[in-house]
Amino acid sequence: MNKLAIGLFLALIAITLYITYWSAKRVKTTTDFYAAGRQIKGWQNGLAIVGEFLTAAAFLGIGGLISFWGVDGQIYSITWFASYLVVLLLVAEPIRNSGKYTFADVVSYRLDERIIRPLAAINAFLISLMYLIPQMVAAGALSKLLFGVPASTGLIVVGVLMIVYITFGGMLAATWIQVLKAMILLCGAYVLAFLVMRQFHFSINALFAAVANSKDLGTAWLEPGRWPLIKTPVERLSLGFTLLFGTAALPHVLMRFYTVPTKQHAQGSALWSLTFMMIFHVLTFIFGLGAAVLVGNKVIKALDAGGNIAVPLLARTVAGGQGTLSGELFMSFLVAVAFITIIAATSGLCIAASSAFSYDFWYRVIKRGQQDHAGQVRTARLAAFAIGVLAILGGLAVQHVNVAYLAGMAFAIAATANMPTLIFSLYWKGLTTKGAFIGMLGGALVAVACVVTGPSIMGKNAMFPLNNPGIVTVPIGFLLTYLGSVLTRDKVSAIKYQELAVRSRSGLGAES
Amino acid sequence: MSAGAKPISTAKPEPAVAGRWAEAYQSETFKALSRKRFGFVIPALLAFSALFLVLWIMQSMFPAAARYRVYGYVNVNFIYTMAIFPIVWILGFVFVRYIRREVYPLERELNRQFDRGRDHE
Repeated sequence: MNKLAIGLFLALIAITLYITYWSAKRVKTTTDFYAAGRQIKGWQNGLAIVGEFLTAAAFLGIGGLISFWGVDGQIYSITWFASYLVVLLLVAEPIRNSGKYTFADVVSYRLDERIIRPLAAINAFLISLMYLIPQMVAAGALSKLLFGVPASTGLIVVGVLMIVYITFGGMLAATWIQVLKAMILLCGAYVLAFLVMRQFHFSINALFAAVANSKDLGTAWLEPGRWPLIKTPVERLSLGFTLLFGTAALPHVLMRFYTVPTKQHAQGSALWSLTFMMIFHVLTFIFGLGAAVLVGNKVIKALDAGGNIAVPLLARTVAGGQGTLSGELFMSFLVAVAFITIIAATSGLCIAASSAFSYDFWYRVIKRGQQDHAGQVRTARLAAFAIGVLAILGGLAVQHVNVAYLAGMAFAIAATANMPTLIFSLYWKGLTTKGAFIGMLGGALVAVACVVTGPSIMGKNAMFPLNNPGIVTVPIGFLLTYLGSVLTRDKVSAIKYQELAVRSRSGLGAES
Repeated sequence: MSAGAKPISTAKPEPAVAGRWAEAYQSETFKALSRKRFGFVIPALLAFSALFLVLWIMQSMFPAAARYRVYGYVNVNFIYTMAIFPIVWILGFVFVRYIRREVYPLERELNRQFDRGRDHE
């Protein structure tokens, strides 16, 4: 299986390298590099956005979670999916209408750019890096599990490929690789679901009956309340709330709305991403429960206590079983796809982090908007390269530490620090520069403090009780921004609100 | 408008420019456009939140209801969870149609009224 999987993986890599080569020839201006030349169609961008979220966590993680803990794991499926409705209703069109490349464009529009843009850039940079490093570590662990190569090797391979894609191909390569990956992943998922349900004569009730009557499982797998992490109502609410409303403030997701030519396409691509998310996430219970019944949790746990191997093992079982050509082939295919998924996801994060540095910080703040296109693209490429190296070194340094909490922290910072300023920028006249500053800085600190003193890091000695602090920190973020704004004055912001409101809601004067 | 797009700056807006945006902001067309947009967005967000709140209340406070079997082993919790997919999708689909039918004509109208002096550089 290892050789087969590696062979399939190399074939997919060859395709992605060709995409990068094709893109590299086309990337000439900053708009090409950061926004794929604004030539991406709605459905393509929808797939690319979904690509950012159909990571190994979604594909391998949710299946494993459901197989171990039952339908509680579906909380990720429904909230990740539904979070795109929030994106569609509140931000997709407005940010396309009023920004250029990054979400910092929107939040610094009305406010004092010298203060807010660096802060927004640092937030975006840290959020993307915090997301990136656990992905790299996961890639290492998975390459050991799936391919049988040392974790450090896998991590470095992922890092190097990511650097190649972004440095040469920019957002154009990142987008097309996401589109390709999302399509392959969706096809693979449907074939797998078909093969699993065939075993149960395409009856959900038969699958459930098998779960209920299995001696290792039981009806508890079909009911909420088994997963310890969300056993308390507050913990369940907080996780759901953070996932539902945090997505709308993630820099690497928001950045994708600048790759389309018009606001109609931005809106359309949010609907497409909602569609593709639904198409994938309705299946996750089949993977999880199917693996629990057909493979068995003991077998899965013996290979990987995290459950990430559940879906590949299920693929092998339903496609013929261990030792059969069809079984090994299908498993290898899904393993290769899972790995491509990680590289594509890291690439999206890499470009978000590099644009925060090279565009927001370097070009807009340090150079004050005075740099030619060639210089900007050069800086952007250098930044992508440096971030890639940083992510590889960071990943290698922490690969034996459990850093899964970093992704949760990134989500908490996005929702707590960025969301209030983004929403108030677009919809509230009273926002002031100082209010945004207090909200962004204070929100980030509160989010970090709650995660650091929470159970995911301090275990039983936690001072803050929740694993996912969103339900507490997001209202604090809004409150800080609100109070900071009503206590200070900002004439320019109040005047420019009218301009931003007209632009963001009507598309008057949008970037083309 | 290509590279001539208005750069994002915090320099004080020139009175003429600010005046034009203010004029657009205060126009009846823009008011109607905002009313229409928020008239959908706010109820939609409330309905969306309620949809998830009901699931949360059922799962955490009425586990017996969540466990109640409707057909074979298929219980209320599962049906509700799966129903969220089409409900949320339909909400998104209806929103896009609504915006295209009700709001875009007003946007075009606004563009006709105020686009003349757009800041080309």
